[in-house]
Amino acid sequence: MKLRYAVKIAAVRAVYTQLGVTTQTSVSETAAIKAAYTQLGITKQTSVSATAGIFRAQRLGASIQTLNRIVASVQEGNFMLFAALFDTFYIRDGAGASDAAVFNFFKTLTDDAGVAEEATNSFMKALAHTATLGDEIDFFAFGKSFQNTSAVAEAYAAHIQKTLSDGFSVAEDAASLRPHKSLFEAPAAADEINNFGVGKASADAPLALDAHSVSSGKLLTNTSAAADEINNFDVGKASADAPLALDAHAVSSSKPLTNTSAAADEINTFGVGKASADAPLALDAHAVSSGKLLTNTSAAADAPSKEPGKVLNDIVTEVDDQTILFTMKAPDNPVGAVDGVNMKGVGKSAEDFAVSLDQAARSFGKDVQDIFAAVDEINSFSTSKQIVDSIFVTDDVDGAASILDDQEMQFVKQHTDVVGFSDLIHIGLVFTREFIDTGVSLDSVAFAAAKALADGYTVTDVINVLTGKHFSDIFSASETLTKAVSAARIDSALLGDAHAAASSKVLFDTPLLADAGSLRSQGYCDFAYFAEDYVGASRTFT
Amino acid sequence: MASTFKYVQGDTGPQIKVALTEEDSGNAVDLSGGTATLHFRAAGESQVLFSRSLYVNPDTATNGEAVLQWAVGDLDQEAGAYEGEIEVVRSTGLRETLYDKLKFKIREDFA
Repeated sequence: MKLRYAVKIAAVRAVYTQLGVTTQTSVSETAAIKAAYTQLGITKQTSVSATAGIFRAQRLGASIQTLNRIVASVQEGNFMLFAALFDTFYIRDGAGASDAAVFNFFKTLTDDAGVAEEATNSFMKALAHTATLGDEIDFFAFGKSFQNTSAVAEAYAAHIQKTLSDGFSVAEDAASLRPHKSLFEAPAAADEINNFGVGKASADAPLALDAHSVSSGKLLTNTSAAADEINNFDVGKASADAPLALDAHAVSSSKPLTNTSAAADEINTFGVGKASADAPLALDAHAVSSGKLLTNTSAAADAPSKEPGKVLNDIVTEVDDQTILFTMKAPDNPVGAVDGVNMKGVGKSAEDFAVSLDQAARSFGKDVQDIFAAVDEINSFSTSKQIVDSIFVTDDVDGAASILDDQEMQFVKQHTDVVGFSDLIHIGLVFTREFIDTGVSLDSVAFAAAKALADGYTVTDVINVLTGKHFSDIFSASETLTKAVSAARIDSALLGDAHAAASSKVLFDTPLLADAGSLRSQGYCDFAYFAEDYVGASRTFT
Repeated sequence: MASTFKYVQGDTGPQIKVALTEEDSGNAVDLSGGTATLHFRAAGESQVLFSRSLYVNPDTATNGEAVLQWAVGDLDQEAGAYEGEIEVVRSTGLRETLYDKLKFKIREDFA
């Protein structure tokens, strides 16, 4: 055993020496020792004891380490507050969903805000629509209060007349008059509407006229007129209502032209703060009508680019178109209705509602006139009652009797009074109603007239189209009318196009003038025969 | 390492914070992407009663710190001695279990 150990010790020592291992082994040396053991074939457990013997004999020392272990220091305490939340927080970190959710909320809020804005816009619009209604109502309310009093005044006048004639049955007369008055009261309400004119006492009368004219114009400019009213209301300026009434007057005077213009103005006022969409609506209407006109002129513009001659031909075609329109208009002057259709064609469904409003205006104006007529009739009747008073003459017959006769006389008077009242009542009622009906028809007539005027304005538009279409211009005067309202601007645009076309033509003409060549006024012999002009002359030109 | 952590039945705190370091360098163990888990069992028993993951703050994972937050019921054990084993799995998948065990003692609660 000793020899064996000695041999192995010698071998290990040799290995150690070769490896440079002296005393304390290191970690790296451990591997070297293992390699040496392997080389020595020491693999069994017994070799371990042998190795220990070697170490002891050689006084070698070795330490074996576990490489880079994890050591821990542990503390007890609350290191994380709300651990559960932290856990959640960890999840948040991973997902970030919670944060995102938060942002989403904000976003949704902002979205809602945007919606709110839109909502407000819509509200504004809605309000504008309703506002118009409300305003109108307000106007009525205002006007009614004032006009009611005026109606009462009329009623009083009627009473006076009756009292004078009846003398006795004043109370009865009042009763009989009341029914008339009640009828008039309804029309009085209409009058109030005219007064809407914004509480302008002086303006009331013109308002009545305006109402008529307006209604007529509205048929044509239904859309525009409606928009105006709505816009005014949207402004929400109580004081502005009065100016609106003034506008209405202006509109009525020259409805076609003023209607469009008024619409633009109102739109501008609306633009001040309210739904911007309102203005665009009105603008759209204009643009639409104008756009059509442009298309017509655009064809003309193409013609110039082709060549002058063609341009002329194109113009002629346009003239034909205009003439056609004239023919249409001539019979259709009342057909202003057709124009009105065009206006509607703009696509303002909302303005259709305005039409209903226009009708209301008509009724108002009529009511006013009706009231007056009724009063007059009553007055005439009262005179007839005086005749009835003459019936008292019958008293003379009774005079032959005693005091009791006086009582009988009273009875006679009562009878005569009753008769007079019945007549007055029936007559008054009939007349008032009839006037009202006719008033409606008068309004329609007024509309037609207004349209004719509007046509005259459009004539200017035709002039724009013009430039060579003098013939057509004359005709288109009536037709263009309605178009003119919205086409006025467009027409100017057309003029611009015409200029452009003209310029391009000029350019083409210029190059054509730039001719070059030579002039030979000599045929005596070949021109090259002489070195220079010998007989005749030659020159070049450019 | 603390000798023995004492709890009362049903407790969920205090927490235990483990600071892990490399034995050789003393550097903190980078727990980024890694996990630390406590395996809990009764002293002298082989059955693991529960395993609880320690919270590693991803922002400070390089500090080698992990915190054990007891879950409800973790310490609702019979009174007695318990021991815990910290197992670390690095982001590389290397699994290292601390040799030293954590010692716990739980007593019955009054109510």
